Amino acid sequence: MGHAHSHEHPEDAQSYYVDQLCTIGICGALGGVAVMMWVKRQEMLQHAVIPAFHWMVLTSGIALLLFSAIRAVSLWFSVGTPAAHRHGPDTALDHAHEHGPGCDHSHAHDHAPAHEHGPNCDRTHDHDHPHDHVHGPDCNHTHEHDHDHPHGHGEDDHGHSHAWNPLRYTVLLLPIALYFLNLPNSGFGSEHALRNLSKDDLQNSGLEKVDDRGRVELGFRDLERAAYQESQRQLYEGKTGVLRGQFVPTNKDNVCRLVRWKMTCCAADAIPLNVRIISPESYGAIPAGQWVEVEGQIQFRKNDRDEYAPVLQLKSRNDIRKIEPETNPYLP
Amino acid sequence: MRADGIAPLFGARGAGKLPAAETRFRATPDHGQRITVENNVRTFIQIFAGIFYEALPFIVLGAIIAGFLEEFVPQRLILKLIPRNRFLAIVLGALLGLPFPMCECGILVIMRRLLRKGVPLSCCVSYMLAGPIINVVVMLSTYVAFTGMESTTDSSGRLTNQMGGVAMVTARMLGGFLVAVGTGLVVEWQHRRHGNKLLAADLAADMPASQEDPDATVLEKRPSQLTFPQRIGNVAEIALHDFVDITVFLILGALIAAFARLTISHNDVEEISRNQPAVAILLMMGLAILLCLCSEADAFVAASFIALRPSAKIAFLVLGPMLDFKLYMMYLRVFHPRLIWSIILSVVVQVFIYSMLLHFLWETYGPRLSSALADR
Repeated sequence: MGHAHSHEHPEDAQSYYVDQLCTIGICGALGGVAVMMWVKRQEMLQHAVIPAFHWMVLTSGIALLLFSAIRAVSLWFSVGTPAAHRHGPDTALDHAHEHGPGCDHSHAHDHAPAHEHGPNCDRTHDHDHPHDHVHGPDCNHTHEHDHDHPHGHGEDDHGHSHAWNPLRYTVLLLPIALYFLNLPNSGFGSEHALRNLSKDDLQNSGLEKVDDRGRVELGFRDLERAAYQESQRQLYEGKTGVLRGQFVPTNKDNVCRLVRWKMTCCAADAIPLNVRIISPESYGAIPAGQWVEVEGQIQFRKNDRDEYAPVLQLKSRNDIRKIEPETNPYLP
Repeated sequence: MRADGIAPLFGARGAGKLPAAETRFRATPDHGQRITVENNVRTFIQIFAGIFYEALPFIVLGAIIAGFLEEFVPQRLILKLIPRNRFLAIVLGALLGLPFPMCECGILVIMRRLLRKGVPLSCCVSYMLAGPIINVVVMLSTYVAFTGMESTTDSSGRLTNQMGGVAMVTARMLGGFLVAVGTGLVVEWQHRRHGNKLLAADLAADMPASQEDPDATVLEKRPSQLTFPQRIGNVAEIALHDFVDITVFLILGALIAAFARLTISHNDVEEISRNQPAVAILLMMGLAILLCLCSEADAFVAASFIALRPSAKIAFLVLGPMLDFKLYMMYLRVFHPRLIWSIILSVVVQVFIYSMLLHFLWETYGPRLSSALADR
């Protein structure tokens, strides 16, 4: 039931090519942005996804560039070449498509007299007719049509519309625009941290290493849940901890929180880990979000929910020192 | 990250002139407002970029697989592999994530091509819903996130009755499977009543009239004499088309998710749902819809709600990969709104019932399991 016919639809052709060129352009641009993020602006990627994803973004960028190039070449060759593509809208394009049993779309045909019918077909046509024909599964006749019909590509191609729709390309420009604006270029602010920390949320400790004169290195997960387990609390209680993080003030000028963001995959799943720092005196001028290193005694105190929470008790405000931000501000 | 990356946002430039407390808390209203808006916009962009660049590689991969699937895999082969019994086909669909692991963003692109190849709609839906949960990567990440949680104690040293890694993985997989199969059956029933009207308009136009008879499906639509480079050209066209089509909706969904993430905090949810299992489950389901997390990452977020009941965490982990803003926007490219709402209703109701059942079972039998595990 192969059924070759020629289309002529000039407006469709124009919108088809504009659409295809835009698709190639936008995919190429997105691929380029993904590659350039990896090559030149890793710090932008760092704020969006964890390092393990960086090469995946690069690979997807390369793949997009590659497929855009392939498509550009194939589109170039399909122009003016008959039968190059099964639904290229070239004028007088011979394009073979098959009709399923449910297909009943109507073509206004100008039948050329020389058309071939299958062996069981004994119909003769010698007229110009707009007809609704249905090809059954056993139908294998071939028509040579020369028809001029206004069907949109979306009806008999593989189910998608090629109508030029500028709106969707505008949406796709967003990541490209962000790249040129150099965004995101900084980590979460302390306001976002404060919003995500409940008033007495102390259960997560951002401690990375504990120095008890004998330098005890501990895994992050142990510390994260230390407050919840009696044996762990006993292990840490009273030891000196050194902690690096971002300073987040509270409404008391001698109490602050130190926050580290823990990113599992991307910025959307980042959660703030924090520990409360208590100083015997006011901290002085430390801006919110400043990276600091704090050295103090680890204690576990009950909060108003009757749960233990880790606290770092300082000897003086000099135990809190401003430092340069970590190369990767996010904990894995 | 720049050394001054954050500081200027919080008034650091004036820090030398004013005492600390004044710098932080007595900024002029205008200045304070500007800082908040600027900071919110930056956080918004960061979350949006996070969701977008995390999903990008998977969508590209999905689109390329979709291109090859469309161009090189014969429809008859796929139809041969699907069991004739529709229930078995749905069950098979739900387990397809084991050999073909894919996250929820990529799976949608592939599923759309499978549909066009004549795979029954219900089977596709069960693969789409369960695939992002029942796969090895997600099992591992869930296991790692919850390992050791069973020994969590409260301040008086009592076990808090949490689930550990193995229990969470089992409960999540089972939940994902049951809900996906249940929804597959609902979709099958709907499809028998309404046919291909349940699909998005341009997809429905290209679908076989009936999926009951595999012989009656659309056949391959390509001249067999295409050369290899021409076929690769076709793969590129399909891949780029699918990529653009789905990415538009990914971006729109990511924008909504970033906004939701900015306005709602985890702790609001944890605070409200402390002692109400049903409320906790519903709130965590709402949070899953708002946050649009990837199924590989959501276990770590769920684990951060340490004190929350395991049943609410399971509700979050089962619903999240099946339904969120981003997915809803992407579903619009595949399904008719009628089917989307059938799927949403079916998934939400089943996840809630499953989580409530789990809650009662775990509250009754869980403590024994927990103590047994903690004693080890």
